[in-house]
Amino acid sequence: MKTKLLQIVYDMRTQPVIAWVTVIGTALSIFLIMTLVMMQQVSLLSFKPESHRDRMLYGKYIEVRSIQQENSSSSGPMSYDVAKKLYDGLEGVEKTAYQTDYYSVDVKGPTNEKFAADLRKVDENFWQVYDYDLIDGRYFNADEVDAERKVAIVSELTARRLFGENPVGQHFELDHNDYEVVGVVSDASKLASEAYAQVFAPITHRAEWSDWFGSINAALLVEEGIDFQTVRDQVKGRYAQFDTEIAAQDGKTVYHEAPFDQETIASGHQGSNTTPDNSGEKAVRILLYAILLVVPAINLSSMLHSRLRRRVSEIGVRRAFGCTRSRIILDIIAENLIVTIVGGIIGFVMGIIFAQCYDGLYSSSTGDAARPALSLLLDWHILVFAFGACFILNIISASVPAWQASRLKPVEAINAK
Amino acid sequence: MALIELSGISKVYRTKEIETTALENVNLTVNKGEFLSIMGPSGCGKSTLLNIIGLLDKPTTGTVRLLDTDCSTLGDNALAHFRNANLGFVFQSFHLIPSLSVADNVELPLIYRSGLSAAERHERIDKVLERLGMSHRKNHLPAQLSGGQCQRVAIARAIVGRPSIVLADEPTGNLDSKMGAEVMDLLKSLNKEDGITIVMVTHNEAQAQQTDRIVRFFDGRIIS
Repeated sequence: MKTKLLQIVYDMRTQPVIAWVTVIGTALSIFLIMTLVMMQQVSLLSFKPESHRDRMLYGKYIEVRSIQQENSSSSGPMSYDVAKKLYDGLEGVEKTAYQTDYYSVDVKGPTNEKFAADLRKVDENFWQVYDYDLIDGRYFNADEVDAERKVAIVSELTARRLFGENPVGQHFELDHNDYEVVGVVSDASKLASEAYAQVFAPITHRAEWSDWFGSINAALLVEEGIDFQTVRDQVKGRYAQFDTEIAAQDGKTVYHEAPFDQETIASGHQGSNTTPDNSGEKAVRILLYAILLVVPAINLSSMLHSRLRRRVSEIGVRRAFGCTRSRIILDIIAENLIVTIVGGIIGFVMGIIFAQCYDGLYSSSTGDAARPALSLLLDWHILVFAFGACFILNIISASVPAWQASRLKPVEAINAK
Repeated sequence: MALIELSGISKVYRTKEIETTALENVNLTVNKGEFLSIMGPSGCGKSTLLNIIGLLDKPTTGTVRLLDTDCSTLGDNALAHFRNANLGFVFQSFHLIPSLSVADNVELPLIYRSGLSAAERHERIDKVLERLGMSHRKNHLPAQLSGGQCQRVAIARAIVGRPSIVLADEPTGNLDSKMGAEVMDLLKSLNKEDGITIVMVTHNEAQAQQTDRIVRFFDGRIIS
């Protein structure tokens, strides 16, 4: 180990450009991979207010085809009625919330200019399905939702912007309507894509665009230990039941493995008329990681080759004194692994710093409290992945030069200039 | 007792256009404890022969027996272990590893040998450096040493594994006459006091005369 470290220090001194480019190149590669993995992790692991992602299922869309004209279909978010028909009272589901996606609206406080805020319309169960901290006031209740009362819950930061202090009970303008603030909740990150908003108002029960389509999603908190497939099977049955109701109107649903789990949501699956292919998307992701590893590995390999060219005679001398070919390969790989790990640690730290800044860059308006905790990002999966990536990068980049070096004939290596 | 036995050794280098014979039917026996020098003009095959004795190169034909072992039959790993256990090398250009200290350079043959603890390795290194008068330079890098000191370190590295045979390829070739004489004295003392068999390639007639036997080469053949 000591001699390997000495060799690395010596390389740093005698071939600084190649040595530093190797370290920085490795650091950047690991950083890139780390960032992608962390973004993936952030979209999968649970954190407030999406504290139960491992138990969440989402009914996002329906697709309805014409029975008579098979090529004619419509798809998109559901109306409240359809969402209830498909997702209400399922066995094994602890709570179901109905909500819209968030969208930007203008808000205006009593004393300030109007500004844009992200609004999500939700029902009373939303606050039990997700894990918001109530800072002040109360959540709205079923009666208020049913009556579509103009009450709102705002995030802490939005409350400060709107009113400064004591927001509960105050009125503000939301999308040209007067709303009363009944509660204040903690800020959420946009990374919590299904729960995040800055302003929450009761959803509408009325038909919006048509009897079938509207703007409603269902968020299902599944009971612990329940297999998602059992829930999907029930939903599939509900689809069949719904088909009998809409057949008279020339409609037939197309079932796309709804409701989706967090992995599907994290993969960015958007198609309302396509079935998510998690394994296909995973394969694409793995391919992307592989490319991100192989491309720098080829460059690092050529740099290691250059470094070794200056050490051919040394390799010959080592062989003369009894070093076997396999030992030459292992020593070079071990030396390179140390360099790769140093680069990897730098890349890892860069990744953590970036991850901490990322949410701020993504949405500076969500406040510090909204960022995912560092402990989440330092999850052991990420550490294993980062150092696994270092190891693979090392093996790919060092194997060929190490093998070539081991094939040198001792006598030719010793006499190499 | 013969320690080195070469029979019918020839070495031919072939390229697409040309075939060069470096050694032709060389037969040579070196006895235990002998100090042999090989002389001859440049390109006559001296170093090639030394490399073949050192198992660094393979002959085109012929057999090499060292310490009663037919080395022609050994595989790559076995050759490496054999070199490590029985042979020491001293090169004209020293070939010290520039990134390592004197002590780490000397340790090189020992790290490829199993069964030696770190304490045993360090004890051996200290002993050999003391014997060669290099203890005070133990932690220096090769770049901080004179040519003579480098060659002392190279000799220390060659003998730290207690080999039976030391092969020296023009060990004084890069040294001035005073340093060269010092190195020769060292080699002679290793031969006389430790009984190490030494085969040395040299251009220096005076130094060759100090050895037990001179073998003269010309055009790949022993001429006397």
